[in-house]
Amino acid sequence: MKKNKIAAAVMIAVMMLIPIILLVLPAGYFDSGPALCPSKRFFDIECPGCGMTRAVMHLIHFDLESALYYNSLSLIVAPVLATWWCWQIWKTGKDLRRTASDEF
Amino acid sequence: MVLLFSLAANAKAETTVCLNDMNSAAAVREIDPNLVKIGAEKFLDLTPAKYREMTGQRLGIKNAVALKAAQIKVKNELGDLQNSEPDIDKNVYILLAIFGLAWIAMGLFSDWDGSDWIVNLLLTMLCWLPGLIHALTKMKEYYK
Repeated sequence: MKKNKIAAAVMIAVMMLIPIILLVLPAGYFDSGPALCPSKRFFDIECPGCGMTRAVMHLIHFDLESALYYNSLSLIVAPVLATWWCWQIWKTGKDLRRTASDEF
Repeated sequence: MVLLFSLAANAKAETTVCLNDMNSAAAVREIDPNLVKIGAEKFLDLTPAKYREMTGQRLGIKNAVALKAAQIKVKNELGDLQNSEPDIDKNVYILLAIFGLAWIAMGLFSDWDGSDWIVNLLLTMLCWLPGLIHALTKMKEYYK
Protein backbone atom coordinates (compact mmCIF):
# COMPACT_ATOMS: atom_id res chain seq x y z
CA MET A 1 0.00 0.00 0.00
CA LYS A 2 2.77 2.39 0.97
CA LYS A 3 4.63 1.48 -2.22
CA ASN A 4 1.58 2.37 -4.32
CA LYS A 5 1.24 5.66 -2.50
CA ILE A 6 4.87 6.57 -3.20
CA ALA A 7 4.58 5.52 -6.84
CA ALA A 8 1.46 7.65 -7.28
CA ALA A 9 3.12 10.63 -5.61
CA VAL A 10 6.21 10.28 -7.84
CA MET A 11 3.97 9.97 -10.90
CA ILE A 12 2.15 13.20 -10.04
CA ALA A 13 5.44 14.99 -9.36
CA VAL A 14 6.92 13.88 -12.71
CA MET A 15 3.77 14.80 -14.60
CA MET A 16 3.72 18.24 -12.99
CA LEU A 17 7.42 18.73 -13.78
CA ILE A 18 7.26 17.87 -17.50
CA PRO A 19 5.32 20.97 -18.66
CA ILE A 20 7.37 23.19 -16.34
CA ILE A 21 10.61 21.89 -17.89
CA LEU A 22 9.21 22.33 -21.40
CA LEU A 23 8.18 25.89 -20.58
CA VAL A 24 11.58 26.73 -19.09
CA LEU A 25 13.43 25.38 -22.16
CA PRO A 26 13.65 27.79 -25.11
CA ALA A 27 10.94 27.45 -27.77
CA GLY A 28 13.48 26.46 -30.41
CA TYR A 29 15.11 23.77 -28.25
CA PHE A 30 14.01 20.90 -30.53
CA ASP A 31 14.31 22.84 -33.81
CA SER A 32 17.78 21.60 -34.70
CA GLY A 33 18.96 18.02 -34.85
CA PRO A 34 18.20 15.01 -37.01
CA ALA A 35 14.67 13.86 -37.79
CA LEU A 36 13.71 10.84 -35.68
CA CYS A 37 10.64 9.80 -37.67
CA PRO A 38 11.38 6.59 -39.60
CA SER A 39 9.19 7.78 -42.49
CA LYS A 40 11.26 10.94 -42.87
CA ARG A 41 14.53 9.18 -42.26
CA PHE A 42 14.12 6.21 -44.60
CA PHE A 43 11.80 7.51 -47.32
CA ASP A 44 12.17 11.31 -47.00
CA ILE A 45 8.39 11.56 -46.77
CA GLU A 46 6.88 13.62 -43.97
CA CYS A 47 4.17 11.74 -42.09
CA PRO A 48 1.23 13.62 -40.43
CA GLY A 49 3.11 13.52 -37.12
CA CYS A 50 6.38 14.92 -38.43
CA GLY A 51 7.34 18.16 -36.67
CA MET A 52 4.74 17.64 -33.95
CA THR A 53 7.25 17.91 -31.07
CA ARG A 54 8.62 21.18 -32.44
CA ALA A 55 5.13 22.48 -33.20
CA VAL A 56 3.77 21.69 -29.71
CA MET A 57 6.92 23.18 -28.15
CA HIS A 58 6.33 26.43 -30.05
CA LEU A 59 2.63 26.35 -29.27
CA ILE A 60 3.14 26.12 -25.51
CA HIS A 61 5.43 29.15 -25.87
CA PHE A 62 2.54 30.95 -27.67
CA ASP A 63 4.50 31.09 -30.96
CA LEU A 64 1.54 30.24 -33.18
CA GLU A 65 3.17 30.95 -36.55
CA SER A 66 6.08 28.57 -35.91
CA ALA A 67 3.69 25.95 -34.54
CA LEU A 68 1.58 26.12 -37.70
CA TYR A 69 4.72 26.06 -39.83
CA TYR A 70 6.05 22.87 -38.24
CA ASN A 71 2.72 21.03 -38.05
CA SER A 72 -0.77 22.48 -38.41
CA LEU A 73 -2.25 19.48 -36.61
CA SER A 74 -0.59 20.71 -33.39
CA LEU A 75 -3.69 22.89 -32.90
CA ILE A 76 -5.63 19.65 -32.36
CA VAL A 77 -2.93 17.55 -30.73
CA ALA A 78 -1.84 20.09 -28.08
CA PRO A 79 -5.32 20.48 -26.49
CA VAL A 80 -5.79 16.69 -26.60
CA LEU A 81 -2.42 16.24 -24.86
CA ALA A 82 -3.30 18.89 -22.26
CA THR A 83 -6.64 17.18 -21.57
CA TRP A 84 -4.94 13.78 -21.29
CA TRP A 85 -2.35 15.29 -18.94
CA CYS A 86 -5.04 16.80 -16.65
CA TRP A 87 -7.01 13.55 -16.70
CA GLN A 88 -3.92 11.50 -15.78
CA ILE A 89 -3.09 13.81 -12.88
CA TRP A 90 -6.69 13.72 -11.65
CA LYS A 91 -6.78 9.91 -11.95
CA THR A 92 -3.44 9.43 -10.18
CA GLY A 93 -4.52 11.90 -7.48
CA LYS A 94 -7.75 9.95 -7.02
CA ASP A 95 -5.76 6.70 -6.64
CA LEU A 96 -3.51 8.41 -4.13
CA ARG A 97 -6.46 9.65 -2.07
CA ARG A 98 -8.10 6.20 -2.18
CA THR A 99 -4.86 4.53 -1.04
CA ALA A 100 -4.59 7.05 1.80
CA SER A 101 -8.22 6.48 2.91
CA ASP A 102 -7.76 2.67 2.74
CA GLU A 103 -4.94 2.93 5.25
CA PHE A 104 -7.31 4.27 7.89
CA MET B 1 37.23 -0.60 -55.59
CA VAL B 2 37.75 -0.03 -59.36
CA LEU B 3 34.00 0.29 -59.74
CA LEU B 4 33.83 2.67 -56.80
CA PHE B 5 36.50 4.95 -58.27
CA SER B 6 35.04 4.85 -61.78
CA LEU B 7 31.63 5.81 -60.42
CA ALA B 8 33.13 8.47 -58.18
CA ALA B 9 34.67 10.10 -61.24
CA ASN B 10 31.17 10.68 -62.60
CA ALA B 11 29.85 12.01 -59.32
CA LYS B 12 27.63 15.03 -59.59
CA ALA B 13 28.87 18.42 -58.42
CA GLU B 14 26.59 20.24 -56.00
CA THR B 15 25.26 23.48 -57.41
CA THR B 16 23.32 26.32 -55.87
CA VAL B 17 20.00 26.79 -57.62
CA CYS B 18 18.57 30.29 -57.85
CA LEU B 19 14.89 30.52 -56.85
CA ASN B 20 14.24 33.08 -59.61
CA ASP B 21 14.79 30.44 -62.27
CA MET B 22 12.32 27.99 -60.77
CA ASN B 23 8.62 27.50 -61.56
CA SER B 24 7.76 27.72 -57.86
CA ALA B 25 9.23 31.25 -57.63
CA ALA B 26 5.71 32.71 -57.80
CA ALA B 27 4.72 30.92 -54.59
CA VAL B 28 7.86 32.28 -52.90
CA ARG B 29 7.21 35.83 -54.14
CA GLU B 30 3.74 35.75 -52.58
CA ILE B 31 5.33 35.32 -49.15
CA ASP B 32 8.03 37.93 -49.60
CA PRO B 33 9.42 39.15 -52.96
CA ASN B 34 12.91 39.42 -51.46
CA LEU B 35 12.99 35.69 -50.67
CA VAL B 36 13.62 34.78 -54.33
CA LYS B 37 17.07 36.38 -54.03
CA ILE B 38 18.29 33.71 -51.64
CA GLY B 39 19.38 30.30 -52.92
CA ALA B 40 16.98 27.38 -53.04
CA GLU B 41 18.96 25.42 -50.42
CA LYS B 42 18.88 28.38 -48.05
CA PHE B 43 15.15 28.81 -48.67
CA LEU B 44 14.53 25.18 -47.75
CA ASP B 45 16.24 25.77 -44.39
CA LEU B 46 14.17 28.86 -43.69
CA THR B 47 11.85 28.82 -40.67
CA PRO B 48 9.65 31.60 -39.23
CA ALA B 49 12.28 32.15 -36.52
CA LYS B 50 15.09 32.47 -39.08
CA TYR B 51 12.95 34.85 -41.15
CA ARG B 52 12.45 36.98 -38.04
CA GLU B 53 16.23 37.01 -37.48
CA MET B 54 16.88 37.94 -41.12
CA THR B 55 14.32 40.68 -41.59
CA GLY B 56 13.32 41.68 -38.08
CA GLN B 57 9.68 41.20 -39.04
CA ARG B 58 7.22 38.48 -38.14
CA LEU B 59 6.14 36.22 -40.96
CA GLY B 60 2.52 35.99 -39.87
CA ILE B 61 0.32 32.92 -39.52
CA LYS B 62 -0.89 32.91 -43.15
CA ASN B 63 2.62 33.29 -44.55
CA ALA B 64 4.04 30.65 -42.18
CA VAL B 65 1.68 28.07 -43.68
CA ALA B 66 2.42 29.42 -47.18
CA LEU B 67 6.16 29.11 -46.48
CA LYS B 68 5.81 25.42 -45.66
CA ALA B 69 3.79 24.82 -48.84
CA ALA B 70 6.32 26.77 -50.94
CA GLN B 71 9.21 24.79 -49.42
CA ILE B 72 7.53 21.52 -50.41
CA LYS B 73 7.07 22.85 -53.97
CA VAL B 74 10.69 24.02 -54.19
CA LYS B 75 11.94 20.74 -52.73
CA ASN B 76 10.00 18.70 -55.29
CA GLU B 77 11.15 20.91 -58.15
CA LEU B 78 14.72 20.78 -56.93
CA GLY B 79 14.48 17.00 -56.78
CA ASP B 80 13.20 16.91 -60.36
CA LEU B 81 16.05 19.16 -61.53
CA GLN B 82 18.71 17.13 -59.75
CA ASN B 83 17.29 13.83 -60.91
CA SER B 84 16.76 14.84 -64.52
CA GLU B 85 20.05 13.30 -65.63
CA PRO B 86 21.20 10.62 -63.21
CA ASP B 87 24.88 9.74 -63.43
CA ILE B 88 24.40 6.06 -62.73
CA ASP B 89 22.29 4.02 -65.09
CA LYS B 90 19.16 2.52 -63.54
CA ASN B 91 20.26 -1.01 -64.44
CA VAL B 92 23.65 -0.45 -62.81
CA TYR B 93 21.86 0.83 -59.71
CA ILE B 94 19.69 -2.31 -59.56
CA LEU B 95 22.76 -4.53 -60.07
CA LEU B 96 24.61 -2.69 -57.29
CA ALA B 97 21.55 -3.15 -55.05
CA ILE B 98 21.46 -6.89 -55.79
CA PHE B 99 25.17 -7.19 -54.96
CA GLY B 100 24.67 -5.25 -51.71
CA LEU B 101 26.51 -2.17 -52.99
CA ALA B 102 23.60 0.25 -53.41
CA TRP B 103 25.07 2.42 -50.69
CA ILE B 104 27.89 3.35 -53.09
CA ALA B 105 25.38 4.56 -55.68
CA MET B 106 23.43 6.43 -52.99
CA GLY B 107 26.59 8.06 -51.70
CA LEU B 108 27.52 9.19 -55.19
CA PHE B 109 24.04 10.53 -55.84
CA SER B 110 24.05 12.58 -52.65
CA ASP B 111 27.76 13.45 -52.95
CA TRP B 112 28.31 11.47 -49.72
CA ASP B 113 26.10 13.95 -47.93
CA GLY B 114 23.04 13.01 -45.86
CA SER B 115 22.22 9.76 -44.15
CA ASP B 116 20.77 7.62 -46.97
CA TRP B 117 23.95 5.80 -47.84
CA ILE B 118 24.85 5.17 -44.16
CA VAL B 119 21.36 3.80 -43.49
CA ASN B 120 21.65 1.57 -46.56
CA LEU B 121 25.10 0.34 -45.55
CA LEU B 122 23.82 -0.55 -42.08
CA LEU B 123 20.74 -2.26 -43.51
CA THR B 124 22.88 -4.20 -46.00
CA MET B 125 25.00 -5.40 -43.11
CA LEU B 126 21.80 -6.83 -41.57
CA CYS B 127 21.87 -9.84 -43.91
CA TRP B 128 21.58 -7.99 -47.25
CA LEU B 129 17.76 -8.12 -47.72
CA PRO B 130 16.82 -4.97 -45.71
CA GLY B 131 19.46 -3.04 -47.66
CA LEU B 132 18.05 -4.28 -50.97
CA ILE B 133 14.51 -3.26 -49.98
CA HIS B 134 15.74 0.15 -48.84
CA ALA B 135 17.69 0.64 -52.07
CA LEU B 136 14.65 -0.22 -54.17
CA THR B 137 12.35 2.07 -52.19
CA LYS B 138 14.87 4.89 -52.58
CA MET B 139 15.27 4.26 -56.30
CA LYS B 140 12.16 6.29 -57.19
CA GLU B 141 13.80 9.38 -55.71
CA TYR B 142 16.85 9.07 -57.93
CA TYR B 143 15.03 8.10 -61.12
CA LYS B 144 11.87 10.16 -61.51
